[in-house]
Amino acid sequence: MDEYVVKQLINGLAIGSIYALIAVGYNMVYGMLGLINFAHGDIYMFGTFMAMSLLLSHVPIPIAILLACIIGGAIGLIVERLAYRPVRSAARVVPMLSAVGVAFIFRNIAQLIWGTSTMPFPELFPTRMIQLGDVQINSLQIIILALALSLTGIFALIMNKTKMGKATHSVSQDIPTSRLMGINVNRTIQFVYFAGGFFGVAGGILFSMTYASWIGMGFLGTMKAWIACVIGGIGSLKGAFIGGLLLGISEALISGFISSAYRDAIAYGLVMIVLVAWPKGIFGHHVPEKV
Amino acid sequence: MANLNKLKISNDPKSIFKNWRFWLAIIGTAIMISVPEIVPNDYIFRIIISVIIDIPLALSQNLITGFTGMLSLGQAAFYGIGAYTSSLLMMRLGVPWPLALLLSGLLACIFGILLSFPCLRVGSDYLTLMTIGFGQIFYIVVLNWMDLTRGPMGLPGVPPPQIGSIVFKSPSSIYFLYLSITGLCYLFTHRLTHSHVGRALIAIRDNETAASAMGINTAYYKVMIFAFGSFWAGISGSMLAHFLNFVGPMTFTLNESLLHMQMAILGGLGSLPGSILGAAILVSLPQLFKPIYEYQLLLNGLLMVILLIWRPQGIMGKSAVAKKVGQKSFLKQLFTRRDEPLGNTEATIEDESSNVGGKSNGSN
Repeated sequence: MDEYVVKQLINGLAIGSIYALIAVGYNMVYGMLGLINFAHGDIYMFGTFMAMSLLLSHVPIPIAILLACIIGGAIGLIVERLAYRPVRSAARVVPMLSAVGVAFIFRNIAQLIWGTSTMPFPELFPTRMIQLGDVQINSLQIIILALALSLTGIFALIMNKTKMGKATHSVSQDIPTSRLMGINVNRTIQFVYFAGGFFGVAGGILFSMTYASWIGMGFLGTMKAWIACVIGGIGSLKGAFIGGLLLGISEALISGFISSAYRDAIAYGLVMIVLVAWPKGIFGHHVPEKV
Repeated sequence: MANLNKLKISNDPKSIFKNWRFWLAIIGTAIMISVPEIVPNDYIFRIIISVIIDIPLALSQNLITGFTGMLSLGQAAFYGIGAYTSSLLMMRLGVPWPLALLLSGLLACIFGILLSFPCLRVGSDYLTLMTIGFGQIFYIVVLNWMDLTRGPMGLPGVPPPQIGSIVFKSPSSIYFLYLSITGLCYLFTHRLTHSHVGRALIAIRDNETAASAMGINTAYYKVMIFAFGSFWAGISGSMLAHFLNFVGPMTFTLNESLLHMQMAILGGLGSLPGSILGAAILVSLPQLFKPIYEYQLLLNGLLMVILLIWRPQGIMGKSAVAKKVGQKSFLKQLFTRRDEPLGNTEATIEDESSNVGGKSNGSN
């Protein structure tokens, strides 16, 4: 039984680290503009399918993945330009729904190009079973965990150490003041969208390596990333990361011990309980409301 | 003063014929009664009935989002609860249709009240997530509870509406029956929004803190509006089930909730006739797109993006709900230069970002 627990925990960590990677990019946009980005998942779904097509046409692996990530970032830029900036000053529900519109468009294009069936992602690494004491672990899970953690680390470094990353923090606190300080606000917003798409596609590729690629994975990812952000606290990198890991581990434990059919239902129920207990997320700060 | 004038007109028996609203009502009623005669075929008639079924959904979504400012995306679950309740009651227990209809609304209403309590505790985005979560839980339960719902296979053979010995089987009889139910819903919603309740809701939407400082019991009104909205969503679900003679889980996904939200927004948040228009457009457009159904999602997405950029407040909406994007034309908004500040963007974003998760609609 203990081996089973450990196995589920490692499963959960691997999938949770992917959720975390998808969530950090999502959380940056969320924290900065306060917009629920419903298109995030479909951007990374599109990028992941792109990576798959490139890999199947024998483009070298690193180039294919890098190219797909850049395409994901570029789509993020297009979405920002066409669907967000024109309605940025409208009520919040408007950019949220225009994002849904963009998500529909990309979902439809992906459907037309790649069809609606579920496809296995090409194998990038040979999988072996590693014997660790009594527990057998799939080497793929270890690789995914390592890759997701290091990519999230890189993202955190970019956010905390580079000039652009610091500008992002500034813009998310106060836009007019940032503008007065000489920060190009629009470019910073574009940067965040690009980074969100880029790291989202990276997460999407890891996700497909664990499961498979299908059209619906985009929407699934949007919801997982959103839940991770809300559990962890909006706008906080650390929060999104921990939220993603928590979500992954609890999902693995639920499907391992309770019921895999009701996994998502129970996960949503848990999120609702968490929200009732901590209305601002576990790591979120309470923001007093201006009157 | 304006009220006084109105009063005068309505008291004078002759001047009622000079009032354009009177003639509009007469013509509207005449068209509605003659619909079964003028509609060329059954196919279009069924689309019209589908629109009538969806109007209560758009109205209740508008009430929750447009009047109270809560971004609920769980209406599809109440829709589904209504559909399953009334078909199961009629098929398994032999409950007469009027009672089944009422009970389906009441059950949805109870779930709505239950959902509204945790929602009271959290801010806007969290509320959205909670309602989506509720919708997903409903969907997963319906999909997996084989004994009750037959899961993905759905429930075929739902009987048509029946009062006493009259069975509403022909499209035109269903049309008049549903038209009267939807008309009742519109009447209730209209009376509600034009009463002190409606004004309290608008106050909550515009500034919740100020509203509660003025002595409005915000929690009470929020629970009430959730109850009202889910009741009519349940009724609408019941109408759908007995019209299609089938219920399946695929009808009640998040996409359906998004569609209801689109109806309310497209027509205009805070405008009741707008919701009717929104429902009419969004139910009939996919039927027009049917020959090119591979592109249906694409066209829907394009329509949404373009409409929202062109008119963020919706076709019949008031600009107070969704602030206008400066005076620039649609094309100019699309291609504004990067460094150029966009109208009153700054002020709005400042307010929005300073209370992420605090309030939904802008309130400065």
